Amino acid sequence: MKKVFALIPIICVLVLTACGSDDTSNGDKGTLTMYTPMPEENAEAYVKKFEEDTGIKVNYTRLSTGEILAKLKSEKGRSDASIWFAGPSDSFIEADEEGLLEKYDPENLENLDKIDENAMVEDASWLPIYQGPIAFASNENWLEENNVEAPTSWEDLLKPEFKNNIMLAHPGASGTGYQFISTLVQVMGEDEAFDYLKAFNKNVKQWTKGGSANAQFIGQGEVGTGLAFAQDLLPLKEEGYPIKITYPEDGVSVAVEGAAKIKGGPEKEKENAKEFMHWINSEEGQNVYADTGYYHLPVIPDAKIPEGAPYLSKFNVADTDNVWASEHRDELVDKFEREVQSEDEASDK
Amino acid sequence: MAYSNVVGKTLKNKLKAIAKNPYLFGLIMLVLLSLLLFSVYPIYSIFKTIFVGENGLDFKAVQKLFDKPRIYQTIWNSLKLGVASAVISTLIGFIFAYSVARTRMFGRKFFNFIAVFPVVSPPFVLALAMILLFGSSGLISREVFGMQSTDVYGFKSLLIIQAMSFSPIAYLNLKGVLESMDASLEDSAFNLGASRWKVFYTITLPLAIPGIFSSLLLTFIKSLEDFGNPMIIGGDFSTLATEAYMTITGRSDLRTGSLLAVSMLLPVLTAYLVQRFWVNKKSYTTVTGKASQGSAIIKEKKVVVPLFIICMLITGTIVLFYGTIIMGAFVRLWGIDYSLSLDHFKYVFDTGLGTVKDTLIIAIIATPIMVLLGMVISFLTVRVNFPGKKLIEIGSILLFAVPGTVVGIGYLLTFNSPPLAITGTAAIIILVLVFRYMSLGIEAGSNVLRQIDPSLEEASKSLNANGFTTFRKITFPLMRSALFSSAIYAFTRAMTSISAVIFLVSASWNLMTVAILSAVDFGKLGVAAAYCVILFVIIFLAFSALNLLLKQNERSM
Repeated sequence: MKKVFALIPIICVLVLTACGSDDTSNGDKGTLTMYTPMPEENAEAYVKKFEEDTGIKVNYTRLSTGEILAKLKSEKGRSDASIWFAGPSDSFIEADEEGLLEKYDPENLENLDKIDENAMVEDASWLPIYQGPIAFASNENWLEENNVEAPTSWEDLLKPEFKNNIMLAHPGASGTGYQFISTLVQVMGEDEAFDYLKAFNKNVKQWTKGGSANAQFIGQGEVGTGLAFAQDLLPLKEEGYPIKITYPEDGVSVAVEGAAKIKGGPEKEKENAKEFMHWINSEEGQNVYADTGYYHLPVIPDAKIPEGAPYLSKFNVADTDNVWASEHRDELVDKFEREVQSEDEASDK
Repeated sequence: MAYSNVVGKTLKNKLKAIAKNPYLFGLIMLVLLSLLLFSVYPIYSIFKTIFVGENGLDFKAVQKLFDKPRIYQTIWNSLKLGVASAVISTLIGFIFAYSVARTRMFGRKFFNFIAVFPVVSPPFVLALAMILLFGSSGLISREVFGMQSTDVYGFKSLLIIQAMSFSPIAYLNLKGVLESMDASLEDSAFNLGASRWKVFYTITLPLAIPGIFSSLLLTFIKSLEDFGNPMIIGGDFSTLATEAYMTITGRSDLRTGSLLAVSMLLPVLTAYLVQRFWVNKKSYTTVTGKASQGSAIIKEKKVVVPLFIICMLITGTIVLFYGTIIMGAFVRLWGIDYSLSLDHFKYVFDTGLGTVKDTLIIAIIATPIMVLLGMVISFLTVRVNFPGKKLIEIGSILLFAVPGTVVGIGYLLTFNSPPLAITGTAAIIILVLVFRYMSLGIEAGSNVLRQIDPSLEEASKSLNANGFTTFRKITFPLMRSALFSSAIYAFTRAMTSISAVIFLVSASWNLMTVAILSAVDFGKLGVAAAYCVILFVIIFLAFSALNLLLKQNERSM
């Protein structure tokens, strides 16, 4: 008995140190560690393709964009990952400003100069990799039961039939939500946009905390309609949820997503991180969206578009500036909380 | 030499007495050091982050906090929810504990199982079940009652879910207290003609007060720092924990977010101090070693039947909620296509097998450390008098009181540079779990220790047993049941905790809860449910194994 007691701490220490020094036995081309906010199965598909193409073994962790950014901020210059794969541009812009990202090597990239003009940010340390439009998603059953037409413009969302039947991610909590209000402000002008939002808020049942779960709630009929990224909606529709997707005629908000090398990532992965940036910008990398059956849109115009995904060229794409959006984030979200959302409390929602 | 005789009036005397026992001295130093390093230091790092900006000390974060539009509403929401859910979960816990410990009602074993069950689930599972059952396309609201539109989001749902989620904490705590109470007191009062009611409120209840207060405290803290449930089902009802989390991840404002989270310490510390100074002043020693354990079994129908009905109702609710999750794991598409399928499990085994393995390894290593440390600390704080005791007490509850998100960030800030660069390893996750949840083991241990008369130990010592033998032969066996419950609790916390580890997982060490949350994030409720079912099975197996171990241990004693 006495011996057992004495042994416990010793064993604990031994095991702890054993776990601490977990050295992965390297293959020929070594490993690449990444953070990604993508759903596991998408990430898995893209990562597999990369492993096939390059022979580099990838370890990835799925965290939300906000979590990745918070992690990088507090790790500051010492990270266990080398690559941040996917996430909205304004998060990358912010990370870049804080000096958390390492510049990619432009000479190493095949298609850098071919990237869509509106996606590229001059002198940035991150690379645009795909884009996606925000769409209206309506529950087909709900539309039918209530005899309502799916919305096709922003004005439509103010109609009384949608009262208490819209769900959208909170702009302070999610990229989808912020993309929506920053597009409104850029297109309508600040005052008009906030007047719109106040009216819009009356129809909102709940400002959700995540951007993607929203799509699920609409599919389940938790609300009649809402907004989400097309690439998040299409797989759910495919799975069998009765989701009708429509796009606003008065300007589709398109978000650009990026990838970057993380400053202070593992030294031994330097070359592989470079290789990843090269790959994601190359022909193979840009076709990967179409080849693996997901719905992200490439940023190189001549790359393959995934079957079933929306053609941006068919839309009236809203003219937005990612850098402006990133810079005004705090200000707009504060204003939103103060002027729009606080009305909820007053009306005891 | 004798622990309990260390009652030196002055610091010098105290120090002298401690120094006489090098083992004890070493132990105290070891505990103190590890608490400083793994509890206090990470919190210090956070305060540094909050109050030290680029140009030295500044209070920008404070200013930003009070500029937040809905800050007062948020504080009020948190306190309201915390108090209400602490009261209700302690009440539920007490009813279950009383029924199991004081009656021989039908289904006691089952009630025991059910009362503990919510503890095995990740914190946000019940919120999910709530939506699946009562949401606009819920099984009950829509399929049964045909309701078109419901509103499950907000305070009421949160309260129901938190009461269910946290009642096991109260239950485990109170069951330990009731079982170790010397029942012959209650028996004699009853035999002398006191009514059951009178026995209850003049003897049982007063004796259970330390347990009740620590349950209230623990559940209050849990409610305050809970972020999984408010995230999923809070709707526009914002709490400090979600607001802090959203400020950090959504607004990427680490400083204000940390300050928001740290501000939760204020009510928590108040509650803790009230408990310390009010409850601990009374003496509740009932295990004296002088009388044998009595029975105090209640047989009257008019007591047992209402208790049974209440237990059944609560049990029914809990079973319904978890049944929903299990069903969700085996159903193709909830609300749309209820045909059975194993797709979700296949998905988990295809993409998440490594995660399941990682989680298990970490929990298995963390559990014994948590229990051991909890036991040692409860022993030190209750039985030994030494300078720095308050420090140990505060240090040991610190991480439990601070919201998980902050703990995680604190660990990240502290341990990503030499000499202790352990980010990305299993060690950092294990450490955070140990130092966050050992306080539960300490609470359970202290409750029992406080009821054991020190004269028992003194008797052993006067018979020339040394300190270690006394502990092994007298104190330890009496603490066994508390030990068991804290081991189970430690294991399940290690398996299911989320907010503290979400920033600490890495590509090499990922955890199931993080995978579940991300599945929920992407609307893969079926996959999330499948993960939960696997989690339930693992914990159930561990529970049985520990139970078996305990029984064997009992026989060999």
